Amino acid sequence: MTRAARIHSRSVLAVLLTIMVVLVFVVAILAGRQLSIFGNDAPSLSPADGQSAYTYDFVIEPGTADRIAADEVVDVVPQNLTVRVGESIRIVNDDSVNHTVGVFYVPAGRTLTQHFNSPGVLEGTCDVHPSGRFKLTVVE
Amino acid sequence: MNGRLRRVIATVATTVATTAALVSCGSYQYSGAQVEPLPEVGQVVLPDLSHGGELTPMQASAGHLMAVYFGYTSCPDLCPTTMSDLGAALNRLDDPSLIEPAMVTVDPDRDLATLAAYVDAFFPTGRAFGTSDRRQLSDAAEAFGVTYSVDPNPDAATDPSAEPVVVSHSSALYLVNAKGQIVLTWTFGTTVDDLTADLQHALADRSLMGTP
Repeated sequence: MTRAARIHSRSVLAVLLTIMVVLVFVVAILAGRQLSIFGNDAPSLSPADGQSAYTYDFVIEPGTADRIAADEVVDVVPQNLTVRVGESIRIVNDDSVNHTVGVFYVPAGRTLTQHFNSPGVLEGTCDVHPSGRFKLTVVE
Repeated sequence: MNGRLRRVIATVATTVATTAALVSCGSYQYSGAQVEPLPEVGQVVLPDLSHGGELTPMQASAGHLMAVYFGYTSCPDLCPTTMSDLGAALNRLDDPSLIEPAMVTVDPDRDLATLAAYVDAFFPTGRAFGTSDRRQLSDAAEAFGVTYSVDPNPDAATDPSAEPVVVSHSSALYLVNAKGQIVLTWTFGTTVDDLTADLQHALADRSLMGTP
């Protein structure tokens, strides 16, 4: 092999290796965002950087049921929420009591995630808003 | 081109293909809600009216998924719509037999004798669950997060055509794996397209199927 051919070969090699490294980073980033579909230990549910991977993130704090029983005003979610197709919601129930949030039922100590793939209206009773209702409208 | 370069190019091509597959697979977002840790319902046992009332745990057969709905046969809207949509989704699957449709009646006083035929009208291999044991039913509903009530209809006293009771119930459809875990919950109104896509992906998703 001539010197020129060797240089050309090394250049091509360098470019290809660079592409591989970039691809590995892309996969790592995408996997970090999507791992919630792969199992219970989804890192996206507990982002290390403190930023939620979900568009809307609500937490039902411990003692919420007690506050409701004591007639305190509890408004974990808004009465009406409009989201777009492609967005997502996460509701973390850190309380010791199961809660109903519109059409969603979130057992105590569990986390519910919902991705919105189609437009529609999801409405139901809600025990973590003073109105007792939670209406979720999904738009294009 | 020398052999070393060929090997590198082959490696890169493989990496690109694998990356594309991973990105394609990982980008799917289920339309059904996911609850973590997964709620366990496999401990719930109910009489299977489609099989002589045999007590059956609420979990799918190995390699299958069970789609469970709580409703009643006199329901004018939610129940038949959900059953119909599920049926349409199953018809689009490559192998519909991998999904086991099931309905639990929240109105056992009127449904125990008719539920099996009702389910069979939608799904020939569907399963009908019902019990006259109020506690058994309420325990099952609680495990799934289902709410329901059956109350006397005040209009029935003056209107002979009115239903004798008023039934209300939550309207979610649950997907249960062979471990007896609820892996997806669809709200009423989920489109047939979304339902179909979720079922197709779930059947290929080992973590949802509960297979090692």
